[in-house]
Amino acid sequence: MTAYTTIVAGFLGVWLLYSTALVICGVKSPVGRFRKRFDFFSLLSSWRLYGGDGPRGYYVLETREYAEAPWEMAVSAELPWRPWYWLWHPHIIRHGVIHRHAARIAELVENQFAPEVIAKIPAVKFFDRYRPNDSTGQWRVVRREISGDQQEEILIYTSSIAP
Amino acid sequence: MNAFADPSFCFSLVLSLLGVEFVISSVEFLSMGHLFRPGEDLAWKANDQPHNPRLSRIARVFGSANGTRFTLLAQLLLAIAAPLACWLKWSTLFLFPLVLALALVRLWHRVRFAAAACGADAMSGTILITGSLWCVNPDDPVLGKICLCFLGFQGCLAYVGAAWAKLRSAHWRSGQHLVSVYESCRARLPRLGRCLRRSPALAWVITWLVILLEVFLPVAFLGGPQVMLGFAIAAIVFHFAIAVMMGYHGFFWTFTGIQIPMIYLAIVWSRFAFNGPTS
Repeated sequence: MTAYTTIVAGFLGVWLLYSTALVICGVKSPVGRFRKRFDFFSLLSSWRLYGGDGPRGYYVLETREYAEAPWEMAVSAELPWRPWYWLWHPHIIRHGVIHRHAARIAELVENQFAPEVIAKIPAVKFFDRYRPNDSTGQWRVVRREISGDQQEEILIYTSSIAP
Repeated sequence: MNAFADPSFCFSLVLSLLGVEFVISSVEFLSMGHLFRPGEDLAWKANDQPHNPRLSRIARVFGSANGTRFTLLAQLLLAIAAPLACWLKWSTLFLFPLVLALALVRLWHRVRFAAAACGADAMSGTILITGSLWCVNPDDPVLGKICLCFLGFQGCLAYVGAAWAKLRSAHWRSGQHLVSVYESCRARLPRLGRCLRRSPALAWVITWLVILLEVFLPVAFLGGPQVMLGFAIAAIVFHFAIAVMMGYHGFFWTFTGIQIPMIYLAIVWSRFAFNGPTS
C-alpha cells in the first residue's frame, strides 16, 4: 500500500465516521443532546441562524400547514454554504439544521411580524424548477434588524393550496 | 457481475451516470435565457454578497450572468470529457484534472447557483471527490477498493438516514405524508394525491414498500452480490418513479450511480466472508 493510498484511506475513514455520527446524532433524539452540545463545526462557524452575529441567511418557509408537526415537514431552506455541508447528504444536514430551528422560525414569523407588515413587503420572484406552474403561492422577503447595522432576510412562501 | 468487481469499470460507470445528470442540468439552465437577464432570480442569487467574504473576489467574476454561463458550459464539457477519459483509460495527468475540475464546478454551483443544485448534489459531490482521489492512481487496486467501499458505505448511510426519518414520523408511518406530498404543489401529480386520499390502504402499502426498501437496502450487501443486485434494481426503479412523479432528476442519476459501489461492496464482502481478510 503506497503512502498516498494510506492517506486517502485515513481521510475517507474519518469522513465515513463523521457521516455515520451525523446520521446517528441526527436521527436519534437522545443523542441529539450530544450533537447539540458537541456540534463543534457550528461553534467554529461565525454563522448562527438567529444568533445575530453572523452573515445573513435565507430561510425559505412554506407556511402551508400539515396535519401533524406543521413546521417539521413544511420547512426547507437555502442555508449559507459551509464546507462540511458538502460532505453529507443535504437532506440530512439541511433538515437536521432546520428542524432544530423550525420552532424558532415559526415563532419569528408568527409573533414578530404582524400580518399587515408582511403584506406590505413586495413579492419577489423565486425560481423553482420543480414548481414551474404553481402561481398560487407568493414569495416575500422579510427584513429584520438584528443588531445595529446588521440585518437578516427571511424568504417566505405562502401557498393558497390547502393540503 | 464480474465487471462490477473491476474498480475502473465501476468508476467509469458511476461517472458516466453523473455525467448524464450534469449534461441535462447544464443544457436545461443554459437554454433558459430569461434566467440570465438582470433582475431575474439568477442575478439575485449571483449578485448577492457571498456568505464567505473570501469568496467575494471569485464571486464577482464567476457569479455574474456571463460567469454562470461559463461555469455551466464548463460543466457540460467536463461532464462529457471526464467519463470518456475514464472509459478510455487516459493517463492520470489528464484524468485527474478533468474529474477534479468537474468536482470544483459542481462545488461552485452548490455555493453560488443553488438552482443548479438538485437535491443529490452532496452525494454527487462525494462521488466526485472520491473519484478525484482515485484518479490520482487508478492502477492501484487497493486504492480503488477503498474508494468504492467508502462510496458503498455512504450509499448505505443515506438509506439508513432516509428510512429512520420516515420510521420516526407517525405521519409517514400512517401513509398520510405520501398523500400530503402528492397533493401539494411540490409534486407534479396532485391527481395521484387525491387518488391516494380516496384509498388510504394503497397509500399505506406504497409508503411501507418505500420504508422497507430503505430499511433493507443498506444491509442487502451482506446477502451477497446477487441479493444486492436485486435490491439495487428495485432502488433504481424507485428513484426513477420519484424522478418521473416529483421531478427530482438529480436523485435518479446520482442514486443509480451509488448502487454500483454498493454492488462492489457486496462483492468485496462476499469474498471477505468466504476467504477471510486475505481476499
